[in-house]
Amino acid sequence: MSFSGGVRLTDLNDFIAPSQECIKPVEVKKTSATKSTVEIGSDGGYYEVTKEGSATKLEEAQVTLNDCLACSGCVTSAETILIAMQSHEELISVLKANVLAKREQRNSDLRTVVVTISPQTRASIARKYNLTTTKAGMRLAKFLKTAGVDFVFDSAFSRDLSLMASAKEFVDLYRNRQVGSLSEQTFPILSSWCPGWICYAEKTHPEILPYISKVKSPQQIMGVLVKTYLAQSLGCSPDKIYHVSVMPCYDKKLEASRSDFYNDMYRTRDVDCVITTGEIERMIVEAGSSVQDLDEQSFDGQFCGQGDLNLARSAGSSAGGYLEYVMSYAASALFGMTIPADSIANPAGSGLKRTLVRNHPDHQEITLSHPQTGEQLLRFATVYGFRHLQNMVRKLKTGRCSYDYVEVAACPGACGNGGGQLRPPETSPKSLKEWANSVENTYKASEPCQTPEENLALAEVLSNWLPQGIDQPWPKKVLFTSYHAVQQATNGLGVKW
Amino acid sequence: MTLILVAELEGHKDRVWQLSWHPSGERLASCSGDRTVRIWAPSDPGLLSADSFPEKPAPGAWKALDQIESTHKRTVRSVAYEPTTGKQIATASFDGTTSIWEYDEYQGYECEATLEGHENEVKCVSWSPSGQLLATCGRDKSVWIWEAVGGGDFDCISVLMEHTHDVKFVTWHPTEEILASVSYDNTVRIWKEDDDDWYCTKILEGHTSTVWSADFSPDGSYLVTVSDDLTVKFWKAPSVKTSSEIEFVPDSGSWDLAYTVPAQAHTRPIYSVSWSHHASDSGNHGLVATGGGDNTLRIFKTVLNGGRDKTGFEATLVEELKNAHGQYDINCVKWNPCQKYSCWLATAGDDGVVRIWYYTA
Ligand code: SF4
Repeated sequence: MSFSGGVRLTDLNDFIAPSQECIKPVEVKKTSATKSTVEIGSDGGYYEVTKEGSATKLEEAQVTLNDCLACSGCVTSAETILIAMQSHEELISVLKANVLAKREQRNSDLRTVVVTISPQTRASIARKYNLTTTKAGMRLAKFLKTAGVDFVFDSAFSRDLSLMASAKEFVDLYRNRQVGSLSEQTFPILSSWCPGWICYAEKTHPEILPYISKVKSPQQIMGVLVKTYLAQSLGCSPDKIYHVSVMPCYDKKLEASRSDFYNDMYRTRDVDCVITTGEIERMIVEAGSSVQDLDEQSFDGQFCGQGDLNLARSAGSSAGGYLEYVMSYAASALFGMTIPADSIANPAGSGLKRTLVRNHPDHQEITLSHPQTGEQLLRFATVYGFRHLQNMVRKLKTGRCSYDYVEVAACPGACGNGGGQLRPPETSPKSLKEWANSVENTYKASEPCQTPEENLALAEVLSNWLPQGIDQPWPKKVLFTSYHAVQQATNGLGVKW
Repeated sequence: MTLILVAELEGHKDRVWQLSWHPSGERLASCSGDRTVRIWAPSDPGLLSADSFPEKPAPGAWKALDQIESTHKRTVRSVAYEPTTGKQIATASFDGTTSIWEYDEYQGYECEATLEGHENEVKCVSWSPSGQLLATCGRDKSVWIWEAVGGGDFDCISVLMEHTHDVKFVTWHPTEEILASVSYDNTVRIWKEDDDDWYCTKILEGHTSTVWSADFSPDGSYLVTVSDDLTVKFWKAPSVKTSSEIEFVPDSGSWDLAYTVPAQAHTRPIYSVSWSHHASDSGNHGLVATGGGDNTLRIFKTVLNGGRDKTGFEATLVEELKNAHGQYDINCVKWNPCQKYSCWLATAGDDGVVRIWYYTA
């Protein structure tokens, strides 16, 4: 498995090699509040010894993925934990348990299985099997439904909500800055949906965290939708739904396992399991089938494009179109200019300018100027890939980053090129690059563009789910999250070299 | 005795890690656990052209010219002069940063840029021969490539994360933009740029333990690596025609292992290696110096053709000096990069001392 650059650098390589630095096993819950000491017994277990001399064996510490993520040294391999917790085998075993429960008529043990598929996954499958992205999605839907999945949704649906929240957040902050009720510190706003980037920022650049948008990613918004709205409409509790998402990277597994997305009351996660594009392909092959031979079936209409048959996408790259939508919305809300999101993707006139910084497609600047005065109104950028991300952070720290908004992606070329996507038959650096480009083209050539406002299914959900409107006091818990700096463990080993 | 100790430079308050010669060959920079960089030069510049020396190093033959009180919070592990003008010095530190220092007549050395990015200890910094690129590597298993963007600043242009362990050392090919990195994962990796992206064109496998250091022959036709496995290995760069006429096509050829100096030659890990720029008649690739944990300084003479090995390559031990830094490890050996001063060798050790040697064959 291959995580995105930032994650590989900050976390997982450390996790994969067992290290002596893990502090977790020491944090054993002690039973008494009074003074006592912890001793190691002859069996190797930890014993709590009170002043009176009575010894109680302490619970053995369990290291979870979350412990690993919140720590920089590690005793165990996050890879192993991830594979055990979040794999297609997990999904298969849940489906099997359902079949068994049905057969034995244990209805209370049945769980509704929901799978959310990302549009980047569809693009990757479509590229490899020479399909349209819609057909690729519908074949996955057929396979999943045949395997016993109850609902198949499109994460482009929840992405629309994520886009709306991002645009609203941007405009609010921008206005606050104008009236001076905000320190300059908040700008640029950095997009937040890429967990590779978030993980990296939390571990290595905590001072950057205030700049990061608080809006949840499409995956996590779908998580709330499924575990609240859908659960309510099905009349079941959130833990009776098993929610899987199919994503372009392993980093999304880390995101799903963040404690911020865990429901303590029902002991359930908004997204229970994440599998990558590669893993779902493997699942199909292991089931003795192949994408070529699958029939097609439509997604479920509740949470998908424009009603049940048509998938749609937002303007922009496989990063999701955040830059385009936020700019389009801000141009209208702040300056009364009508700038359609898809015109930003390919600007021609109207005060828009798109430039490749130092000629690299992964770092682009998009500026909006006043059509008459030529005054620069907005300055946005895309920053994809660890290398550009790194330079952006350096500029930001030295106060030389003059953007208003940056769409940040840890992977070069963004999510079309995620670490969990299908690989080309040839893996030379050149063919990998060409492949990534062709996946991007497949993604862009897919469904018609649609703005979040045009998403009728979303409008319907919103009117039921958040009737107060998303403009009014923000449904913060639903759409917003927060970030936590991770304390770096100092290298206590004093290694000479 | 053909290796003459000309000067002993004392001043560092902790072990000296690495040395770098000014491109003019007339100055030497050293970095240390005391977080400083010191610049040394002969008191009389004519000394470098002399060819006879007193039996004992004359005190004051070399002097401390300058000192960079670095802002690094931990050990300065690596130091490198910019190779075209020598106006800048790069330092890499265990504090995770790399700094670029420029000399100013009034202010002395000033920090022009601090390159952050490595997660933890930076182990080595190296300039490309053009001075346009900088490579760094470290404990986070990554190799970073930076490009000068003017004003003393650098942009990161690549982060290479293919080594599976601590990367110890990086060095550039003398004529091509090709980088070699060596690691605790026992491998040597060769990196190259294609269409704005850097990638690993070759993994050299053969060492059975940590590879500590590497150096290209001055014409770039060979790479020498030294390791914890006590061997010195010579690798032939692909598509080399003759030593003077090189056609370097890294993808099209293999980096064959040309020769291994057997393990018996060293008794402890070898930490440093340097290939001399000694004028070489064809077939003679000059001298290779090594130093390491067995406190011994060794010099090998290399032969390209007619050697005992089937490739025709051979390296023979011509000099062995025990306890070159007393009972201390030798952390760095460095030949003077200037042809006319190519008999000068500098060494640094855990004793905190820099020693300057003159070698006559
Ligand atoms: S850019 Fe996309 S694919 Fe890559 S780590 Fe971020 S979310 Fe995952």
